[in-house]
Amino acid sequence: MRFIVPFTLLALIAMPVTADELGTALETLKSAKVDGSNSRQLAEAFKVAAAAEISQVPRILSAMPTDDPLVQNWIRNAADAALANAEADGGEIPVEMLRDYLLDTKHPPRARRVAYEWLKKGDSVAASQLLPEFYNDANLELRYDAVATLIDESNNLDDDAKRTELLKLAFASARDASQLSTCATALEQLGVEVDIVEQLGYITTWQIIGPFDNVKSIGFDAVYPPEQSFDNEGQYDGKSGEVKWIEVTSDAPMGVVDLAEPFDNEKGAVAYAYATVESPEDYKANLRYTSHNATKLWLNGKLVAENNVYHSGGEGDQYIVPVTLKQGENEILLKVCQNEQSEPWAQSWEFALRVCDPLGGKLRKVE
Amino acid sequence: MRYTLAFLLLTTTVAVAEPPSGWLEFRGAGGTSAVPAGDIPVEWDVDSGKNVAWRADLPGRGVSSPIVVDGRVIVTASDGLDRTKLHVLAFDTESGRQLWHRQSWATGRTQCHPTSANAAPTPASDGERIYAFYSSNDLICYDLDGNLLWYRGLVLDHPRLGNDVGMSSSPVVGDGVVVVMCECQGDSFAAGFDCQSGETLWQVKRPPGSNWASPVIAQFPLDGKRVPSVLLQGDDGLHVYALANGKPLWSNPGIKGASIPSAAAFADLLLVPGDGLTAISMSSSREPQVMWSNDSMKPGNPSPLMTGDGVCVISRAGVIMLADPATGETTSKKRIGGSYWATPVAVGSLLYALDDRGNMNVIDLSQGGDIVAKNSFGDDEETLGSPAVAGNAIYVRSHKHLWKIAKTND
Repeated sequence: MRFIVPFTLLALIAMPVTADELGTALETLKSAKVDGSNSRQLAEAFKVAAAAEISQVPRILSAMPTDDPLVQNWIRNAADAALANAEADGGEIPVEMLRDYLLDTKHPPRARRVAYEWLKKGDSVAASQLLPEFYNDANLELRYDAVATLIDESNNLDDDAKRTELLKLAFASARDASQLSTCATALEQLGVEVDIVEQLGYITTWQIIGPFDNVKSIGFDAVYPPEQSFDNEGQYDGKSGEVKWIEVTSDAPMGVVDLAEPFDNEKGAVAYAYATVESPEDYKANLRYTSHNATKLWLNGKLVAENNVYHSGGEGDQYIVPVTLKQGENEILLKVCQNEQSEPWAQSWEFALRVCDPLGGKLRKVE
Repeated sequence: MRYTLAFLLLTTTVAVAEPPSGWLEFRGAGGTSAVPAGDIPVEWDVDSGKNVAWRADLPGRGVSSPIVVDGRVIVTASDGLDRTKLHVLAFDTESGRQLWHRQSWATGRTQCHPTSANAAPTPASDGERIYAFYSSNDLICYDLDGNLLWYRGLVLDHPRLGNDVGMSSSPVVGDGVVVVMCECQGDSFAAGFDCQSGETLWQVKRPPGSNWASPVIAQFPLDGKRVPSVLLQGDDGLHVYALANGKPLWSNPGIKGASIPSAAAFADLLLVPGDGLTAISMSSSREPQVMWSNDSMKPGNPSPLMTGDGVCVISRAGVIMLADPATGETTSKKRIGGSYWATPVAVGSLLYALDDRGNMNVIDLSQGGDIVAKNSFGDDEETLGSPAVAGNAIYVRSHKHLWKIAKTND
């Protein structure tokens, strides 16, 4: 009799996670809170999901939302743990199941990526054969790897026409600047001109005005007339005299607009840049921009981003701002503040801004 | 000359004759970067395997240090598109076998300098849990078996947090609180989180500006008591907060801290890197006292450490300097060359100084800093993470590999 309790416990431990138990656990994981206030419940739910049988992994993966990174990570960790635990118990990675899951594009993009990574671990050949199909995938990681295979494949071709075809496909599909650059360089060698700036949706023609006062960095919070309304004919009191809007067009790489040259390397100064984009309908989009200077960004008069950060950044897409473009004309206003630092690395006064879809591709319907 | 004070400090801090079995945070407990003794090889060869107990592959880059807890080596790494993939791996200390591997996606900014990685901060452990932290300000807690206990994406409630050369301040843990120091232009703060739940226990504002230094936990003297505290350094001075609730306890704006090398606490001695090096005695029961400052003892990127042969720093020019811990007087300087990000570790009088190019210089501090061995981990290895010492072994990571260096009897 004295062994009954331990044996009962062992039996309970070995019992598979039921569908109901898993369902409850997944619902708990999906309730993850940013402030960590329900972590204890989540940790218990994690252990239930991690103990699930391998056949239940697709259900775990499908609990992954498309837009909540915190929950995505709880689900991903649970799926990884379930697969790893099953593997440690002597099970095989369920290659066919993962393959089917991956190929069904109705599944959450990041969940499909997890399926791909485990498929690659279980059958790298099968994974690599499937990969080129994902060049236009909604999951950027799959897309990146697929584009990389297209580029690799093009490098192994002797036929220039076929190389050009593959590279054009890769260029059209890539969302990563370095891949676009690789494609553009290779295509140029084949006599094909492509435009990375246009492909990424950078705005290159702007109305700019300045300088306004930013001595002692007062300008970030100061409200100068361009913030109140746009008047192309407007003339205002600037930092050291009357200022008016001028048009500039950038032909620099990655759409960079220099403000130092038109404003004579003024230090302690604020400039504004204004542009419009047409949208045929309401669109969920991103405004993505980079600047070494403190910035504020408005869309249609609404402040959508402010970053009081100087002399930082370098890569593209330093700031990603989800917005909704309205049907018709949309006004973009960017305030770019230069401070008074004298170090050589603190002289840059510039920005680059693009309008793109949430995956980083140019909005085709935007003019 | 060996310093009695230094030895006493070390033995007070690490009251063991053997190296500790664990190395639970960046630079070990209190940021000491030192153990009083250990049977650790002076020479090894990664090609022949001599004194290389094992080598493991890593799935991504990292400049974080390995930590060692309860028979496991824990390493973080990052890779993937835009450095968004976050890895935590556990390896068996004896065999090098991978015990578990967990992955997440960064919820915050992932930009960083090309030489660095999202996996820049070193994880910390209290012996029960692992607190992995990243430049993207993801703070993730696992138990020792890889079960996810809690996840805080600090950018989710601090959207302006981050900088574009990467953040690297490592967490520290004590008395049930894990502390992070997140300092940048956009949103600067330090915060303490409940080790069990990850809930925020306290948060204090910090000056806007980049700071890559790490906090230090110490028993701080105040009004006749010892208060578990966390010390934060910055160019606005040295500030001390109660570990339990973040209450400000003490500050000295005159002790301006560096933004890369971190302070280190050795029992009653606190070393604060700044324009030079400042030593603070915490032996008084009332409040700390500045013992000395030495402008010439200015560390480069590695943090200062205490050895039995004196206070030790590596300068930006690759000069190893020793100072008398009682007076601060510089007692020796020896140029060894090289570029260093990793803080060296001292095992007795031997200093293991790992340069950025995969070379571990073993230096005898008792002989004025002579190099007694130079061991390469490979021509194409970049080694920016500080080594860990535990159980008569040194653990070293590059962007690609993790090594256990221990005597192999061959």
